[in-house]
Amino acid sequence: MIRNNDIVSPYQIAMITIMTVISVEVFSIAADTADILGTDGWLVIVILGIINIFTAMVIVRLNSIFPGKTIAEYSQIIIGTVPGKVLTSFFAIYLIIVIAYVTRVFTEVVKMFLLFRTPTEVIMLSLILVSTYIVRGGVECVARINELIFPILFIPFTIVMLFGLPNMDFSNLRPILQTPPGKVLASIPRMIFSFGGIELALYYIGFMKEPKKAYKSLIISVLFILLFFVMVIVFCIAAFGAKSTTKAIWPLVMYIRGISLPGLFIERLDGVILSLWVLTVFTTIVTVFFTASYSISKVAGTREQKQYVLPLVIIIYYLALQPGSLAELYEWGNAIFPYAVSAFMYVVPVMLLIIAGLRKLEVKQNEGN
Amino acid sequence: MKAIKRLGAAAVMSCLLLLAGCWDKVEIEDRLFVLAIGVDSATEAEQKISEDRYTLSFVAPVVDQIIEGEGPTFHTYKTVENNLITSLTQLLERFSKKQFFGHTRAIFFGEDIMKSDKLLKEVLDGVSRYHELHNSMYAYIVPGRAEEVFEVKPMYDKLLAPYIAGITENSNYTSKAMRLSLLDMTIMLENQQGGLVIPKLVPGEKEVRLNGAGVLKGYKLIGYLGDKETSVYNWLMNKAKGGAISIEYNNTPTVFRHFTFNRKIRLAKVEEGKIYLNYEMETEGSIEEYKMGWKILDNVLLEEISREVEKRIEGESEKLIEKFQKQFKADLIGVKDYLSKYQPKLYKTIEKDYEKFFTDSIVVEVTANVKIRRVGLIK
Repeated sequence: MIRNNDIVSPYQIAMITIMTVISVEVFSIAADTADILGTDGWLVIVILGIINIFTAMVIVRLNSIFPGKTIAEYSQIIIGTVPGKVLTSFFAIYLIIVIAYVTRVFTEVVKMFLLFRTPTEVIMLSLILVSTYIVRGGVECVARINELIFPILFIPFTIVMLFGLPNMDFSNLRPILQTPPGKVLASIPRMIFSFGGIELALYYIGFMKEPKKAYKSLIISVLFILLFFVMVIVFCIAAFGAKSTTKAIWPLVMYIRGISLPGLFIERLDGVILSLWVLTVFTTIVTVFFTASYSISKVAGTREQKQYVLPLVIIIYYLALQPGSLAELYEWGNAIFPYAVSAFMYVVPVMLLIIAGLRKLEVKQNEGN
Repeated sequence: MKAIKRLGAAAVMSCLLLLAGCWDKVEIEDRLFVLAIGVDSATEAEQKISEDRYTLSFVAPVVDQIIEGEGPTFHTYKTVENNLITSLTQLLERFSKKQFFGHTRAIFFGEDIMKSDKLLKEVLDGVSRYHELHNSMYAYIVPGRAEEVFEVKPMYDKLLAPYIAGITENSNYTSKAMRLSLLDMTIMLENQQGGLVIPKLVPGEKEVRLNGAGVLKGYKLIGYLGDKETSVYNWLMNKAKGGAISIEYNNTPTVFRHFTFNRKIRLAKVEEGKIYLNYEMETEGSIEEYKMGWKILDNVLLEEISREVEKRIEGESEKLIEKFQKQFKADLIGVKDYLSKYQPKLYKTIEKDYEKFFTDSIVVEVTANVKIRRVGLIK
């Protein structure tokens, strides 16, 4: 059951969503979109963002039918105990894979740019183990860490991004809107994973006092993510041109490396920004980790989720070590996430909402507390 | 029970010993800050085995000599290897310090590297792949060998690399100096399929001079631009900012100095399979030199002088465009860039076989608009 002090405010829901969705993919998003659509790459993100506003609304609608309950609980009410538990277990498996993937990508970036000789295992374990501390603290800790880190990350980051303006040539964004609409639509499935993370609201809204207040927070956070991604893509393409952007593995890191502050006060900013970036990956891992262990506790029918956290570390660590190289890692990511994300972000909430509607399920306000 | 607790506490504390530590620690005294890199192809005399392809020279400051001391303020390290990365590790085998490239300011390519597309591509891949090198460093071509630059003992500067970078940064004030970072270089090579205009650095005995530029096509050096042509090239590419243009007026050398220089391209017409482009140049500035005793603060006179300057700009620009079209047969003057960005539909029709189209069917007309705003302190 949900403890009394485990309450998430509408503001925290927005922070959780933003910090979860924005994680490692932001390093490579400019290269991915430029690869598919060239200079019109930002367009696919805008379309996806608009689609995801509706996804967010579906998620909040679903959750407000069952106030005080997360998907792990109400899925058992909607489709029955056993199918609900099966769905939750699949969700948990997907979330664990997400953590492993994020950890590994992040380790690769850090190893490339910051810690050249530190063993991969050490980077990974220290990142996961620190997260376990927060996750064991429960949902309130998770929400608070997101709330806390948001300004620490985005204010310096936006300032630093602006210092790159002298390197930019906005005519690189031309030609605008020359891609045939069919090609744009066909490219949507390839970028679907970039917004992966909104589905975690299925869990976190369950901890809110009034789930209806999440409409505003979720829509604002989707818009924020959309603007942030578009900014990153536009800045990278303006700085390098579409052709050279596709050649880089992590154009954003390249962009930051290209910045030199006037007066040479600080000559190289990439170290500073990458250390800040540890925070966003950390929050992503924390939020996903909590939902994973929470799902398991609901499947097993235990009251607490704490005891599952440390054993999960071993699984995550093992999974994260599996891909042999960066190429293999991205291959796996591209094979799993487009399907998994669209299943859990679009198919599951919509189906559950339809079934709940058909069965005319309503939970009385006071039940479940 | 107490013993177990104590043991547990001891175990936790011993974790501190095991977990503490840093793999990536390098003391700053152990670092060798490489400030510039020179790349040459290995001469036969230098080759130890026939596979050796590159001679790399690195220059690093001698920290204790910079502040006080009579010895040389920088040292040059040289390696001969068959690729870039083993050249870097060779330094580790021969010198006690660990080289660090985070602050490298300049890279010099010898002429022989630029003449071979194979060598250039290999070296550029190595440079852009290696994580420690920042691609904001400036790139230059050196006629002859790049290592000659490192033999220069700058007259008034203690260190070589900041001296050369400083010259490049003067490109804000003189249009004859060209500024090209390694990043711009790779982007341009990528967009032009191996076409590039790269500033030429000529080493002297006690100074270097940024003089002209090398022109590459298909990753190969095909010629040089002269000093004045570089300035015209900067006008054409909208890279010029400040600078001075000298003309003859009334048999008197008259100097027009500009602080802004803007170029716009417009599509004039498409006729009979030919594309007519118009390069519109606009510049503002002042007259800095005329003749003592002659009055220049006169609107009609200034109008006339500005017409002269316009003619000068137009004439020289058209001469250089013709050179690119007829002699180099390479579009490095921004035509393709403009067409693909602003006329994508038109560009698609000529995309195949673009090079031939550029030399035969593109007509560029230059119109300049010079505004003289000021004449200095005397009338």
